Amino acid sequence: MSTTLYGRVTGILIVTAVVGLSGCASTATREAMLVGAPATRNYPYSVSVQTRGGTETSATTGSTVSNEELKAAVEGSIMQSKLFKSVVQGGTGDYEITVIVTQLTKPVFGASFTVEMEAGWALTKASDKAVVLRKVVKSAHTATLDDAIVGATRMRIAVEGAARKNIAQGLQAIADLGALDADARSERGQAPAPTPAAALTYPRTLSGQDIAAHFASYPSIEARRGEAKPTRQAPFTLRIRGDGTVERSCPRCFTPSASGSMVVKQDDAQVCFDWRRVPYPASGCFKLVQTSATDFQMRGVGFETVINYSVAP
Amino acid sequence: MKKTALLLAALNTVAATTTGCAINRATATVDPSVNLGSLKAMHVAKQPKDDNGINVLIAEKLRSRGYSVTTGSEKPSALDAVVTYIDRWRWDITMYMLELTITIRDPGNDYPLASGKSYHTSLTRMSASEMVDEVLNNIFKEAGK
Repeated sequence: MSTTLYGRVTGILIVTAVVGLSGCASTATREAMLVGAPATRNYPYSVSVQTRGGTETSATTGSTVSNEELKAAVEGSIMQSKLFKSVVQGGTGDYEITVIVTQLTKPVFGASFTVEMEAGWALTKASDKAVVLRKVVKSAHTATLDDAIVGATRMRIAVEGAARKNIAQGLQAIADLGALDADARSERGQAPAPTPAAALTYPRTLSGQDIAAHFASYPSIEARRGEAKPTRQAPFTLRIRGDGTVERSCPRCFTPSASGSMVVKQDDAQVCFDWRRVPYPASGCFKLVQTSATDFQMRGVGFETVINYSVAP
Repeated sequence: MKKTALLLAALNTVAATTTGCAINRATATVDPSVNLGSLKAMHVAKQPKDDNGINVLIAEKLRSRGYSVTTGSEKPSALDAVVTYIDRWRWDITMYMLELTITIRDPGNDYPLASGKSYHTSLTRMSASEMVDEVLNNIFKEAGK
């Protein structure tokens, strides 16, 4: 009896010791942070990547993003998207991308883990060290119990998701640059390319990646109801916070201020809003359609009212 | 069997009581294309929830390094950099600063020109002033490399 009891206690203690001492947090992996979507541009240049500000995962830090894994994920994403001709090591490329992780905010506990990441993205030309792009990219990802029951795994998924979205937005910002294209054409002795806006045909439906990059670039939007008489268009300001929350200010509405949440469903190329206690604008999912260089329409995938807005060119 | 159980119990006690008690981390990152010495005027943006005057401490330390520094919620128009910070506090007998992150940003687009972070748990706790000192020293040490 006594031997059986000791055996059970020993078994429990072994399990406790293993979990307590080895820790269960795992680092975000390069494979899970890869962005595979093809880029909207293909620069005929080589590029090198350096990453800073990442931390190694330990029992005390929980799941984090290491410089090594982030670098590999950015390099892999560039190769898969074909944004640059090639990726080289050691700063020997035509251009250099520097990614500096400045914040990785994680919750301590909960059923859903929302991780927020902020990173500075810089693109410099190697020959003269000219800075082509400097941009701060903020991203967030929520992992729920549907993603993983084990908390440490759920946290890693949230960290990987935030990093993946950050890489997608960072590379999109580089793809959106016109300067590299003009540079490449001039070096090949060709006439300057038409501006990106002129090269696009409208209307065009934005991809999930484009939608995320678009709202990252325009966190405050002056919008209005699209299909109504001008007197009933009720203009409102939509403010998008980095933490996935949104605010709506509508002075002519019955409830002037409202808040809610926003999620970009990258795979479905939709942006979804969930407003608390107000019917306008409608809660639901929208396709984002660009109708001119500066005009956009959010078109509901159900019966949601169309929302129009313009951005600065 | 009894000895094994006692040994594991002791091991668990050590793990439970020592893990997380004395952890120090101090890191700094500077954009390689940035020369912090070329910056002249900075503004330390006060965190709305900061009741400990961390913004004032940061501003004083930067002034002692020769920068022209303002602080508060209102940002002046002519600036070379904006300094932001995140301070995390914990309680262990008394309140202490667990972690401090300071970021020096481009005032035009918030791009992080340089960032530093210090993390000290209770047993190796430092005063707020010492934490600010450590973070800024690490940033400028990294920039001077």
